[in-house]
Amino acid sequence: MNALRQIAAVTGLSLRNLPSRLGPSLVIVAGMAAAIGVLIAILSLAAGYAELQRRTGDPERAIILPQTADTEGAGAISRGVLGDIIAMPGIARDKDGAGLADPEYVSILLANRRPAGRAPGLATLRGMVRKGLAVRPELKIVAGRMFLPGARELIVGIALQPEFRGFEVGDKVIMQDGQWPIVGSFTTGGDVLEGQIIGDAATLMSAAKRNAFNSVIVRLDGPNGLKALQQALAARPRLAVRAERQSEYYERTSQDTAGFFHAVAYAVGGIMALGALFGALNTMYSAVGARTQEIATLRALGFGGTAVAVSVIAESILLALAGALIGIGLAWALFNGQSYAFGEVLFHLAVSPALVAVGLAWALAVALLGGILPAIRAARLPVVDALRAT
Amino acid sequence: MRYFPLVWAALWRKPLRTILTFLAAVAAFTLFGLTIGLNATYAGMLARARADRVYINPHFLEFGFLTRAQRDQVARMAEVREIGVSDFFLGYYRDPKNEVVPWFMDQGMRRAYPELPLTPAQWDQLQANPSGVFLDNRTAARLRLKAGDNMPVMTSAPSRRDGSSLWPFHVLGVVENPPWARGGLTLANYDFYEQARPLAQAGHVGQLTILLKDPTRAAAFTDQIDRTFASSPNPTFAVTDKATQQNGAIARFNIPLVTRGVSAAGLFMILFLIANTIAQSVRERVAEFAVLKTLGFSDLGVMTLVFVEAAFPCLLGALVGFGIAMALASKIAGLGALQKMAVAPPTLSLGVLTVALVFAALVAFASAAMPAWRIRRLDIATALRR
Repeated sequence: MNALRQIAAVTGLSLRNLPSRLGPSLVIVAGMAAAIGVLIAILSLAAGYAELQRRTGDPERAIILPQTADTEGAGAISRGVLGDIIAMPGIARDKDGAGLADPEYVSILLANRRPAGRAPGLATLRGMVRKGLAVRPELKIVAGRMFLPGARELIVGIALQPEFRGFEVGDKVIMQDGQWPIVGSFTTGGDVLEGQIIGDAATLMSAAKRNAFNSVIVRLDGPNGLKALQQALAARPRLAVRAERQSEYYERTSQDTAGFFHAVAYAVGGIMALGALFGALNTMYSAVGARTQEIATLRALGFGGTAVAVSVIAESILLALAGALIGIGLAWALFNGQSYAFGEVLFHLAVSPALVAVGLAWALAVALLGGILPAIRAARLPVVDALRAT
Repeated sequence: MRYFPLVWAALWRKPLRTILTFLAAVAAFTLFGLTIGLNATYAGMLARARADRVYINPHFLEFGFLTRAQRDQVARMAEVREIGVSDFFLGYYRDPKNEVVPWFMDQGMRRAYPELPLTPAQWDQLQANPSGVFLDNRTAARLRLKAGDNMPVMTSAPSRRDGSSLWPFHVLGVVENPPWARGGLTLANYDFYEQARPLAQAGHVGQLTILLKDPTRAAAFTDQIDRTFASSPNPTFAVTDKATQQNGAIARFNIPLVTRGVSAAGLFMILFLIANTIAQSVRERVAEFAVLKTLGFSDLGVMTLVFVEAAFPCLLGALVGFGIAMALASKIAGLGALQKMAVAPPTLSLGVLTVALVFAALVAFASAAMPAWRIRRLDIATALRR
């Protein structure tokens, strides 16, 4: 009999007998469901956060920051140098030749979370230039209208509204120089800005008595735009600013947090998986024990040890994958799309296809580790003794 | 105690099964210890939050500011016992990666923030040395600085009155890092800040720290402050210390939700395993239990045997898991990643151990309930015939 047919026959037999070993089999299923569910749930936090940053960072845009500032929050670019910066080569221009640039002002304000009684949280307040909106074509008003240039008006991202109280269209926000109405709400298709408040940069800066922008966001002129811009800026050291691809900026600034989420997920998932592995070993040893006579009979009939061993591992894999799928399904049902507020960054947890693959790969690894020793025992079972032991 | 040899024999009937069950319990309770320990850390932070303390911030943390006049107005309020003024800015030492956040404090902070790790002599020293700072040992180690070193700090904003953006601090001393300031401390002199910053900002106040005479009035006091200044040029956002503590890592990570979820998943995992192990063990020994009952063991007696057999790997696993969690917690406390995220390490207290043991006992009880009931209802004659 050829080896593959042997394996198929023995595996089929062992799987048909599975219902009689339901209890022990459930240990693997439940263990893997819990371990993989926890792993995927925490990873969905990392994935959602990374996805948000990825959507915000557009490789066709660059962020210009002072050389001394690592993040836009720490940046200060005076009005005086703005014209020089926007005139640089490498920046895309509109039909009138004006550079597609958005000098931005970024600040943070305290806001009351929903529901009432929760501790207050931080919200980002971003000032943009009305003309600069051309740099961010993904920003679309969904209710009310856009703020007017020079007006003391604000628009609010749709991700911010469910998290904080007092940010509906028509509400008024206390500002340094009086109350500013919220005239509209906007979407950006799910990026960082959607959890923020936006107003006219010049008006906000005069309210804040600030004279410096935090950063300049520019649209790059073709694939070589960034290089041209960086070279031009390097040739003007007195401007003391540098350009970074926006996608790289968000990747860099989110590294610490993303790395932390991953570390927690793999540490917790690893300990859980270890526990599930001990459970799987226990179950597979007892499965081999319960099948002693069956295995001995098969060996006496001429089935090879390999076929028997493979059937044990196949059973372990099948049960582990079933458990992992349940765990992934639960994580998906409970967490996918849930909104999460990490400081002032609002995002949605995401159980992505890549995470499903990670979960299944972990389950496979645990199943192999948990099946291999019992499989070796099954293959080495002394046939005569086993048949005698009734 | 007379049952012990019986339970011991039962456990070692199939040593591999017992050991694997025990190891799975160790894994589950390692996680349980870490997660419940983390909960304990944050519960402790909340408990330490002073009920009588309130902070008054400008409504706009960055561009807003309070004024000296507001400070004086608040200081005159009948509810106020102590009032301190503080401010901070973001800067770096030598390399933009070496972030430094000098926390400037006036002398009112001595009494309004008594947890600050400065002795009265050090406070006097700080007052006498305008550009002096005290670092905690964590910050000192990170920046490789010691007492007597110069510590020039660059900022992008605010620049100084003379237009320079370099702040020439020098280190007066290094103090012990308090557990509530995991991110580190750079304690600086408020008068120096007030005198060195641009004239346009003179008289601006960053934050007021207040101790109230009556702690029960804290929430009402914050509302009152915000109403008082709502339509002033400098609206306020007053928060209680309790709310501030809640707003830290707890709100950022929703720690209670995450930790409860993880610990529950761990317990769920071993619940099935132990239930199955004990059910198998009991099934294999039905005849043995029948003999025990014939010998006069009571129903309660045989049930106890089953429960103790289940409890053994659970409780021992909980103890060992707790020990491993303790070792891990002390290891991860020093991790830079954790400090960067301002996450405190788990507290593996006696209370946490008690909770772990109680849950271990509950898991054992739940997993042994069915087999124990089966043994109680066991018909001796039928069982012996098998």
